[in-house]
Amino acid sequence: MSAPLLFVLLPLVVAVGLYFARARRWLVVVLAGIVCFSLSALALLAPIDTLVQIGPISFEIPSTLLILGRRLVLEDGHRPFLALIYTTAGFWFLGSMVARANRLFVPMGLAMVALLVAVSAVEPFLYAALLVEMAVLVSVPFLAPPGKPFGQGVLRYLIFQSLAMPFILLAGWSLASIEANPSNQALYGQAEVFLGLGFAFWLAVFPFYTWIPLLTEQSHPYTAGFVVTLLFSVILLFSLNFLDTFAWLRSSTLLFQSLRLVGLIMVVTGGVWAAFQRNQARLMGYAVILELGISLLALSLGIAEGLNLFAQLFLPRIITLATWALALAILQRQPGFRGFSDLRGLLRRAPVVGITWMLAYFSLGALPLLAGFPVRMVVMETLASQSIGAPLWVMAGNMGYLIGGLRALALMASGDDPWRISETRTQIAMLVIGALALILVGLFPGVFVPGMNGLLEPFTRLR
Amino acid sequence: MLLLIPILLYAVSALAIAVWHFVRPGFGVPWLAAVAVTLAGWGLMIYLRLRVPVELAGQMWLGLGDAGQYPYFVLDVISWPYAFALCGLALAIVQTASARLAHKSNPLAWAASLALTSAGLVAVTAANPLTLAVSWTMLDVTEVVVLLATVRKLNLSTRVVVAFSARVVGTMVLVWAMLVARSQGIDLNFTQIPADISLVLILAAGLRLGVLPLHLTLREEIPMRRGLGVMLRSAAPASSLALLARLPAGGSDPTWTPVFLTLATLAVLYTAVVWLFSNDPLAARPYWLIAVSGLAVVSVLRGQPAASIAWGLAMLLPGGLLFLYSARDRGTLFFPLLGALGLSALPFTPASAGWLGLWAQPFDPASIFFLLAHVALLAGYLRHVITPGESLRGLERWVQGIYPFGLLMLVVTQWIAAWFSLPQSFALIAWVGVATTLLALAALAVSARLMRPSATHADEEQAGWVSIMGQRVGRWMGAIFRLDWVYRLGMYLYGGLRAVVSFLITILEGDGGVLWAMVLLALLISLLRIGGAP
Repeated sequence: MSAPLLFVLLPLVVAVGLYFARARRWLVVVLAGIVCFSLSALALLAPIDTLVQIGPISFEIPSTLLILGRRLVLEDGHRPFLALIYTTAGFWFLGSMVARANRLFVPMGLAMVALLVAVSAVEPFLYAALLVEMAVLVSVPFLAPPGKPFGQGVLRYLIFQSLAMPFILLAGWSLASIEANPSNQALYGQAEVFLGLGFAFWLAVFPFYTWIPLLTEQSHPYTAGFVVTLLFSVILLFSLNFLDTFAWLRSSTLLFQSLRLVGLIMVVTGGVWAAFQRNQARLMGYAVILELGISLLALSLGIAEGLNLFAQLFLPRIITLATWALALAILQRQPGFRGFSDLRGLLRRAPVVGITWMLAYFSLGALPLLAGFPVRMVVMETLASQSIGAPLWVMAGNMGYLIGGLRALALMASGDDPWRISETRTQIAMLVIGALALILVGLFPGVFVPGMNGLLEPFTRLR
Repeated sequence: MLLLIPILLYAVSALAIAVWHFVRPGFGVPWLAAVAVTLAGWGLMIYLRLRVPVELAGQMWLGLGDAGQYPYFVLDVISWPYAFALCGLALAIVQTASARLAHKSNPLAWAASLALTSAGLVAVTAANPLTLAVSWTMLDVTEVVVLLATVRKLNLSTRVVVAFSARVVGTMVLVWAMLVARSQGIDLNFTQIPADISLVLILAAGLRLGVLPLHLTLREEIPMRRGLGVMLRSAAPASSLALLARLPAGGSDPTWTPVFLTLATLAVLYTAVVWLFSNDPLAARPYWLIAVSGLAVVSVLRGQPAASIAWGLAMLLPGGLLFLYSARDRGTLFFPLLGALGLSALPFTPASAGWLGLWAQPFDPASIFFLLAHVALLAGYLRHVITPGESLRGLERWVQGIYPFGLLMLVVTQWIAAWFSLPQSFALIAWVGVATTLLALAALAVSARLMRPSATHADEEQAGWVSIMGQRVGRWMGAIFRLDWVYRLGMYLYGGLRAVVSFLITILEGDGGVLWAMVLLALLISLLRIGGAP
């Protein structure tokens, strides 16, 4: 059984099965959880393309699967990525019971994960554009469940992600032309433009990010959080394929300048927008924008200095967004909760969800002590070592973002209701796990974060 | 690892007392345990003074091979007086708690005080900016949790968050200092701080102390204001004062120092005057904290960071003594008077070394302001000491025995701390303390004469006139120096900016948003072509 069969086709088949069993919510969640954690354990324990001997049994997991004339290749270097994505998905699916996500979320979400894994595996890698589009299409039913209005956010998400596909394919055509005719300088510019536009749409780079706050506002926050977390994680990693493959791209100063400029714009606008925001779900959208901006800034530091930081940003981001999405889903289900003004007194009515939400918020605001701070600090220090202007803007954006959180905290802290815990035990357990993870990663980043460097293993020329 | 012992001692005992309180509600065992722990912690701190520097360094923080990125704590000659002061305060709080059992003093409040002491020890011993940023946040979060758990008033909860916000801004300024240093190729630590970065660090500490610029974020007083309240109002300032004491001697960047000095002087003068005329010492505590810590900030700005320790200790210990002095009679008056002696900065008293930072040679006319501020602080302190309060006699006999001992421990702590850390205090360095003490006593005598029961009608009229004038001038000064007008202006600007942002969001997320995105993209590409094309 090859690795692509195990990590792509098997979960796809399971997802189809779970779709038909979706009426039995518990069963679906437990099965999806078991599949995800098993695949994650397998990725951690079983080497690929190496003979494994356990007593009398010996087996080997081949890395390659031929399908429709294309190859899906998951090599040994992909194992950290596989473990990360399936662990994330496993926890997210388990939390869906508490978050009360719709019934389509788990089966379609599992299918989306499988397709996103295929994005990293497909060769030639330009076919990933089609797989990303399929993943996006698969996610639409649980973002806008049947019978509910199709909001602007989902519509724009679909439009912008779909617009990315032709640009990436055109970029592939240009890159192939460059290989055939490397002396033609015009082709390089053409390829850069197509690639830039493709990734701008994919990664919701400024000015194409307006769908993110709309999506988090109009869709269920838990499912929206799942989509933005996993989709962006995979696309960010996939973007390294281009840098790994094309040496001329690695040496392009315009590329790194563009990443720096766009990253700064995203951090500043995301932060400033958050400072004035009066919708708790949209705040998550702005946090995602700010975090994407930080990732682009890390990448803009260059291959030597920025790549490890770029990878290390994954863990705090995933933990924080997962905790945030869960807290937000529970918060919005509080009795009588209709909007931002109903946050008043929430800390006294539902302290666990209030505190966890704030921890997640401030973690992405890089407040010391929390998961988001350590790597963000190193990113800013490295930026400062190149120029003091960029970190100044990052600090400005960050302060704006923190103001948004402090306003929400002030609202939650106000009120004179008696203290009471209104969350259920399961909700408390899940929230506390998330909150503890945020604090532990913040206090001991050296234990948890460097493991993320393994995500770079497939990119042999970048290491 | 030795440094972990006191930190864990307070943290673990806080947890144990809290758990005990829930399992077996009662006062006896938790109180005895708290007394034992705080006494042990206090003694341990004296022992550790003989072993300084005591270091505690973590492993590489991020594993990126950057030597600066690791947690590092040190108990040295600078951090020890503040650590010892916190231990002294914890001891006094627990010992005097017996007199406050009728005022919501309970094991949970003692546990919270011990937890804050532990967090405070972590923060004052933080020996590099990264560790300090994390420690400050830990302390702020502990404080905000304790405060939000205890306050009931709607307005007060909001003020707690506003105070937390001001502290967060201070922490961000500290982070900014690290970035500025990195831009200069320096891995910032507290052993070598360039002058321009020193100023940023002063701003960070000043922001957290409420001195630079003057801001009274938590003007209203909290419940349990005497016991837990004392630790709540001491731990965070102590950690900022410890940073100030680490700054380089000889002054900061001359470009901005005069501006900072002016702002700090105004803050000190205003808050000292409010302290002098206030009727309730607990209500005026925020002014006390800003005034005395402002003297510490001024000392650092004038190039004498070591002198700031004298004012820092005066703020924490004689200040703590006054705020814990709840049950009063003639017999116990002696202890707060000893506290006043500790504040007086007379020659051969603990705060005497503080004049090194305020009374410069050659004579600087600005020093007159600090002299006046000190007079106001001392006169206000004495006034609050002699104000009648609850009687000690109504309490049980064992309380009457243990309570004064708690007050005495604060006096002893200040003298021991000064003996070890401020040797200049016990040399004849300045007579100015004599002048301020005499002036303070004179001011007190005049006000006592005007307020005495046998005062003549003319005296009363005079007193009324002085009082009305004082109140009017106070209101006028308050309107200017509290900087409320600046904050109102800020809110006005915030409202304007919010309207602009809302407009932009409406455009970008409206029906024409996709087209606007394309237009912005074209603009961005043109910018890149101009700025980055080969």
